Order: sequence, then C-alpha cells, then structure tokens
Amino acid sequence: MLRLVAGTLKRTAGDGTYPIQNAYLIMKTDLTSQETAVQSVSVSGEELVQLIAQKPPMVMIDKLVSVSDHFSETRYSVPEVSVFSDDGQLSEAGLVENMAQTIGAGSGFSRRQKGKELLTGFITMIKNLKIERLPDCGSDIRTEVRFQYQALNFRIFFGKVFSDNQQIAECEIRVYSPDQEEELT
Amino acid sequence: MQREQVVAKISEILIDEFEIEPEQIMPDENMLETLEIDSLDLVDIVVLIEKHFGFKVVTEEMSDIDTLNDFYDYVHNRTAS
Repeated sequence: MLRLVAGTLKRTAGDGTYPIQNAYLIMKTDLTSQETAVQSVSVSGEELVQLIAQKPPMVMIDKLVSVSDHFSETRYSVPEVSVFSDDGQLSEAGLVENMAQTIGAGSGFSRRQKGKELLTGFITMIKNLKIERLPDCGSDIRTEVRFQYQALNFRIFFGKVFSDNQQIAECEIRVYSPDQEEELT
Repeated sequence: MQREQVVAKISEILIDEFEIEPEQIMPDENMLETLEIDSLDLVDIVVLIEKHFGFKVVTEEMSDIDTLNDFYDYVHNRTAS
C-alpha cells in the first residue's frame, strides 16, 4: 500500500510514503489565484445544521464565520459533555470531525449561495494528522479548512484547529463526492 | 508529446515519486495489481499526472483503463488532443 506520511519519503511494504505534498502546494498556488474573496458570515443554529450532514448530538461546530470558494472557518465551544469528549477534553476523533464539518459547512454555504444543490461527501482518508494538544471541555476552538486540489471525484482539503490563538492540530482530509465531477466552485 | 516520452515520464513519476520498483512496471498487466495500489492511491497518481501533463483526468474515462499500456495510451491521447 502507498500512504503519504509527512517527513518520510520511503515506500515500504507496511507503511509506504512518498513526497507528493509539493505537488499539492504547486496546485494550491494556481488555485489561490482563482479564489473568491473570503467573506465574513455568521451562520449558526438550525441554519448551520442544514448545511451539513450531521445532526445533534454529532454536530461539532457552532458557527460558520468566514467562507470563500476554497476556504471556511468555524468556531466551536467544546461542551463539557459530548459524544467526542473524553477525560475533560475533546478527543482526537472529535477534532477531525470538527475539521470535516467545517469543510461541509463551507461547501454547503457556497453552494447554497449559488443556488446549487447541497452534496453529500464522504471522508475517505485522513493524512498527516498532527495534534499538539487536545482542547479542554469548556474552551473555544477556531477551525480553518482550505481546499487544496480536486482529482477525479476526490477533493483534498487541509485543516487547522486553533485554541487560544495557538495551532493545536492539522491534517489533510480527502472527501469523496460521488455526484461531484465538477470543480469545487 | 510522443508516446515514448509519455511512457518515460509516467515511469519516472512512479519510480521517483511513488518509489515503485522498476520491475513492477509491467505494461500489459493490470495496473492496480502490478503497482500494488488501490483506488485511493490512484488519486495521488492522478494528481501528479495532471500536474505534469497539464490536463484534468475525467473519472468516466478512467473506468476504461485496465493496464499501464491503457494508461499510457490515455495520457498520450489527452496530451495530443
């Protein structure tokens, strides 16, 4: 199997890796030039839930605050008790879910704004997950995701989570959208 | 671009970027099997093919590709068009 792991370039039988990130960065530069301006928004509550596939108690974002065709940003107050809370902290899975829902909210908002049908995406791969620390329950986190590239029906995003203005997590998320051959915009 | 150039470039990508062993590149064998990759790995290959050859791969067109030779032909035809 081939797998991308940051900082390692060798392909091995059990945990293969290869240096493909540079390709994404080159593509990202091209795409950034086409990106629409980031707009400040305030989408929360039921309006926000309608943009994503998840329903309470699985919703891991509180408010969509910024969005463009290739970028979205959310806020989330980590509750004391939730499906993804563990020992007073939001779990690793909760962080990934938070980033994934930020993708969904941003994509959903952009498509709805253009009068397009909302699409369902499926996470197919998480790569290069780095977690510096887990956010405490009761704290606030800010999450950014940026569209990197689309190949076939797969869209590749890079997400970052911040707490107290410090980045605490990042990863690459690949989303498969069976109905989406078109470019993200 | 000549087909030979396409073959050489794809081989170079597979060997350099994905560290496929040269002996794994068997043009008439099933591409996914001989390269020991799955459909998710194929996305990474498509990303680099698009970058190097400058066209977007269409999902439906990939369904007709079985062997590496099919893939070489596909890329060659797309670069020629």
